[in-house]
Amino acid sequence: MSDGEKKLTDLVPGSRLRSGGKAAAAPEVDTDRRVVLRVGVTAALACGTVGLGFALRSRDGHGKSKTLPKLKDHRVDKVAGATEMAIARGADAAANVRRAVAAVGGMERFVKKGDRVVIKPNIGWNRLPEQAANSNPDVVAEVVKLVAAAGASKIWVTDVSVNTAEQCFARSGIEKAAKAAGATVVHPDATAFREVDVSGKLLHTADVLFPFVEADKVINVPVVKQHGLSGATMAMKNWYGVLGGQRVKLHQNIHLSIVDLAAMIKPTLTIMDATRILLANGPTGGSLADVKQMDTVAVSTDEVALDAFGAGLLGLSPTDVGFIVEGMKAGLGTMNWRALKTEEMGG
Amino acid sequence: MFLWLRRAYQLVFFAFFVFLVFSATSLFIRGYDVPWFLEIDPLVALTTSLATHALHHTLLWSLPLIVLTLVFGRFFCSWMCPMGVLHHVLGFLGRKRKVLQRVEQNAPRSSHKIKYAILAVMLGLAAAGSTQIGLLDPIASTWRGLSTSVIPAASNTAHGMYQGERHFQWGTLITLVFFGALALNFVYPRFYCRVLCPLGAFLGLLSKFSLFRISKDPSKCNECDVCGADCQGAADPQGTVRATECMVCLNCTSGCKRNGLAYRFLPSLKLSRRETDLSRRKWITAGVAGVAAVPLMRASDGVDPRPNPARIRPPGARDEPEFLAKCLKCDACMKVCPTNALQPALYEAGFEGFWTPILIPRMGYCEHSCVLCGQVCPTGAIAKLTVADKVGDMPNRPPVRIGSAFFDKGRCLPWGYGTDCIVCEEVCPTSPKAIHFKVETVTARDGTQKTIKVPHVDLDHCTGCGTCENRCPVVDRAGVRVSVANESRTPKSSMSLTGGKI
Amino acid sequence: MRIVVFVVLALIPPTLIGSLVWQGGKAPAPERAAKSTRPSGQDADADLRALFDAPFVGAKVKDKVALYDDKGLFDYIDGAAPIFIERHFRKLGAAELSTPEGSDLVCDVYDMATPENALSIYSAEKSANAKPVEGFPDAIAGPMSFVFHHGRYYTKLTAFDAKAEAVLPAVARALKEKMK
Repeated sequence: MSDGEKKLTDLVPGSRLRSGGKAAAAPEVDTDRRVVLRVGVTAALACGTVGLGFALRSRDGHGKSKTLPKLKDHRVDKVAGATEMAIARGADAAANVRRAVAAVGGMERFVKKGDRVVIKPNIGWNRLPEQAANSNPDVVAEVVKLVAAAGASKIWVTDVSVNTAEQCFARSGIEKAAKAAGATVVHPDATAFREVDVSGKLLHTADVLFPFVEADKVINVPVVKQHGLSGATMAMKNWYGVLGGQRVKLHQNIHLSIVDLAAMIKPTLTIMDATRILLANGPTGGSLADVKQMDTVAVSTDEVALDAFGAGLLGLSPTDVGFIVEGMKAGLGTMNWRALKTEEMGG
Repeated sequence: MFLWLRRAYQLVFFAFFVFLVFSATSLFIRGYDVPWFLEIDPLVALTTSLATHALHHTLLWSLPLIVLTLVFGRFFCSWMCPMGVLHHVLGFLGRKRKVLQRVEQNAPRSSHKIKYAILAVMLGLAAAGSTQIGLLDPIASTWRGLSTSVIPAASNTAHGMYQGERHFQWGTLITLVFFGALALNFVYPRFYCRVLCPLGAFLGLLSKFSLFRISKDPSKCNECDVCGADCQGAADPQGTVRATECMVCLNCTSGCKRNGLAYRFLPSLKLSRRETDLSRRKWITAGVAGVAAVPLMRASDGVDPRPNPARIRPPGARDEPEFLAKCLKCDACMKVCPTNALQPALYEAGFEGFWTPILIPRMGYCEHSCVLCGQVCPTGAIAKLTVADKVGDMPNRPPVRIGSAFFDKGRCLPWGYGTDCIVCEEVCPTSPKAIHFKVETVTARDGTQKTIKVPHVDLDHCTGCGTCENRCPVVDRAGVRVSVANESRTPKSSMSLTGGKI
Repeated sequence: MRIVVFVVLALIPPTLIGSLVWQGGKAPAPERAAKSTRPSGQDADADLRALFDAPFVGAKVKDKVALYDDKGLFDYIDGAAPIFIERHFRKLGAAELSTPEGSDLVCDVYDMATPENALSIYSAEKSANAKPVEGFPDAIAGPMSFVFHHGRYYTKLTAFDAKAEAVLPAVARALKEKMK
């Protein structure tokens, strides 16, 4: 205690109150108001914290029990006696589209005023229209015009490309043509997908691009190509392009996967572009030597029938193409397209 | 006498802490709430709820402690905190002899505001989704120091008594940090608690509103400075008591010969000081720095887009962003893992994942029907799994996968050397076994033909447990190795169409 | 007043910590192995006994088949019991068999309730120098011993002389045939 003579303040100046000889006073007491205030503030903080804690609490969930939405059925009612498949041939691709669509009842039969419509061409590849890896831009533009004329309130044109979206949409010519015709072109990004319930034979759930979840009507505009793995890629396989996630896994069982996809989406109408078709080295293509000018457009609500027709254009027998056989077995349509009420328009 | 009560609390809670750490083994764990000290830690609750926008239900335990601190002040630091006890004891051993020297050691210093800046940085990081609080939180640090440094060293010295031989990847780093923090007590007592501890900072902020605090009766004070000689918090009891620093250790109230200090209900505000000394500008700068650090850290890889193949997480771990928002790096899972498989990551999980748990199959494999890691995780970064969930029920319900095994055909004996081995298939624990044989005929070096069993992995059944890699007789880099591909917690990692999720 | 506060504070740690420890100690260890989906009880007991019925490859039960549950297991295998019990072991059927040649062997069949538990205990007990058995998966043969697991059963056969050792694989095979 003899140390007490030497003050702390010599060592650490200004660190504490110096009473320095002042007459010691009794400790001051807070006013009642202050007491209430302090207790109140502390109590409020305490209650607030506890309340917040309970509000935010979460349990160990395994979280996966949410029910996923299914895709809508976009088909319209069949009309008895109507043409089920229309094939138009001619040098003017846009005219082919108009004639074939008119033959199956006109776009007004399928698209009602105010509908939100998504048009799904094949825009998978960074290729020019001449290389026949993507759908013909003139065909796509004509479809957009017909849908607009039928009174659609929103028209999306989109695809989940294999190569970079910017390049594919531009080089295929589809972005420019679709925009000029009045459509909204959508470039997919990571936030654009929704998880849906597929409940197929192989596929249980999938990430699908949002327009296919939100639209009232869906129109498939595939191109006809040979495909290294599945034999051919036409209408049914075009639905690969709505998928995000790890869709490459579908290659592990391609034919049954295609059938699950074609069952998952029930489009309003399919307008198959066979203006230029890719006979070999598909689906990527590249060499013009593999391209054949067919100047044909085929329209139907039966994708299996259209694929069987397309297979014929490629020189394949429909029975040799796995997904066509499986698609027919699954009840998605018939490969005997000639047995349908068909109208062919030449010249 | 309350002083002795405080000492008793320190002893009892420290013993309880050590008991819980020691109970974290497969043999002793029973149903003990092993991570209790982390569950009551208010800073853990605050940080993880900022990072995940939810409060894991086990962390509700922290709410009573927050309320008690709001009322009674920062008593936790000297009555309950295990790190606090260690520092108190070491500080006591390292204290100077003379009273005046001790008073000087326990004087407030401007460096004591650093912990508030650290707190602000940590909260900034958490607000942006990255929980790094475990690096400096005292309870997580003590868990980590004991689990991966002290107890393994002691157990290995005693011929593996208690848990067998345990080794942890670069554990020396953890040792250095842990003992380094303790060694700071020889600079002055409770250095860590006063300068670095973010939990102390948070409790200090709460103490601004405390209804009970220590205050001086100026009429009794003769400025002898004895009260400051053993002040744990450097709270300047002889001057205006700093409410944010005072740890309610009661050394001053007992030390004062004139009963000039007492722990009172609502002493006048004039008698205590509530400022933290950290300017508003510095608070904001620190917080913003924390927030900004997150995208800067994440611009490097390790998380996305290309996970390190060695970043195999424990079974039940959440998807990586959520995992990094919840993991405290407390290493309790590494402690309890019966096979020593879980190890502290260095670079495998990126910068943010430093010292988070990864499974290294060469160190240990994941025991097929063991779910202990999830039982001890305080924040649910590793979810509690049931064994049924973990092993699945193929073909109806897939198991939890932490990765997949891949053969290195140049190193595997049957593949590369034409000789039978069968160890990986034999030890593969799944039912049916993920590793299966195809019998092949090979020609030996001398021209004779023989048949051997060549192993293949069925990726639909492989859980990535690593037993094959662990037991492979190729001693350095095994002939079959597990990497993180196909882990079930990350949908993008899935390789197989089986299961039907795209 | 101070006394009251002191007493209350003094009582808090023992109450708090005591209840945490007591509660934790009472609760079972987290599942280390899957629980059985079969109802345990007479069905399973009968199944276990039935494994010993009728001679197999000529070996017969000498006295009787003793059944041990988790409380009685210590009486039979002493300190080795905990590793079975923590794997939800249901019941042990133990019997001494004699071969036609007059050699004796001991047959212990552990009903582990599920195949996962049987595999778990098999893996845990496997010794480093045990050799796998050609043509008999999930089995290892050591000197004077033969151990295998099949379905929810874990079986240990122990021979007392070379003649008995020679028939262990055959006895094991016969037992395995009976296990469904």
